[in-house]
Amino acid sequence: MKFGPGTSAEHRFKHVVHLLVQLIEDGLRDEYVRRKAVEIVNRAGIRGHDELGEIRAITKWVQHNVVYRKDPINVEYFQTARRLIKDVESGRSAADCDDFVIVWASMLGALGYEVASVIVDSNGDGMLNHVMGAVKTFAPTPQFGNKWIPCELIFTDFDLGESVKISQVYPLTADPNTTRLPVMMQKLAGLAGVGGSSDNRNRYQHPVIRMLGAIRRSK
Amino acid sequence: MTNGYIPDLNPAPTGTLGNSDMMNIPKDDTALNLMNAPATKEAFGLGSAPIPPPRRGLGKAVPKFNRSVGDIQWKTGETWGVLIGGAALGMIAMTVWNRVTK
Repeated sequence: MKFGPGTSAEHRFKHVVHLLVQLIEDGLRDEYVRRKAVEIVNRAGIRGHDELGEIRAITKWVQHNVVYRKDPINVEYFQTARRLIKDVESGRSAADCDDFVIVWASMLGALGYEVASVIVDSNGDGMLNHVMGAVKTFAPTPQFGNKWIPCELIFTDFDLGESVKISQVYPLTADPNTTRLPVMMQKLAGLAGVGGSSDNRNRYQHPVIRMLGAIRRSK
Repeated sequence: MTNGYIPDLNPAPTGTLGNSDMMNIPKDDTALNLMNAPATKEAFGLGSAPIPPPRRGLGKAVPKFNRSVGDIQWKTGETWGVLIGGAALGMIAMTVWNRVTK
């Protein structure tokens, strides 16, 4: 995703957050993601019903196996959970905080947990600039009770519930019951609006899309 | 001959390329507290998701143990299904038998 120079910060932020949550919702219903999550918790020797054990195992796997790489300035890369897992398996992962959250929340969501992405101000200055994950157990635990548990994913030595000092949170829960199209299919569905919108007049359009638009207008 | 490839005669030993020995980042529980503050929960609808009640249709599939096994329930579709299916099967069997034997 690349934003034009005139894009307002609010518009940019809303767009990013919206897509982030949609990618989590897609990932948690992906069978490949669920199989990987099950493999991780089984390999860690976590017994059934050990909710904190499962959450900790997935968190540690993400912290220790996904490699943190920054995005280019003014460009926001998003990766699906499946894509990032495959990259980890082939030793080519490169992800920033939002990708970490997508893969982490997708795997925990695939194991049946309520998950959320939490946008925070990691400098404590009120400027939302970082994403963490948050999860909730079904049964209350001695450590966290019934609370939402935020997780810092890009640093290996942060335990569940720990974060850097922040002053603002913007949490958004993923809805596993959503009936919308997956993000990857929405792009194809976008062809339905070819040539019909005046907003697209000044934007770049692929030649095939321009041709389809011309055919539609001639009819 | 190097055939276009210039070997690096003084390769940097691995492990000295970056600053992975960064300072310890101070940890905090502000995210935990803010996330679970009543104001945040209310603003973002973070209450726990209710466990959905079982659907009504499920009742038919669950066996009812307060009846004796073999009791006929005339109001259920299953009884009529068995009766009509049995009658149809009997008619077919009789027709086939008659054709073969007569």
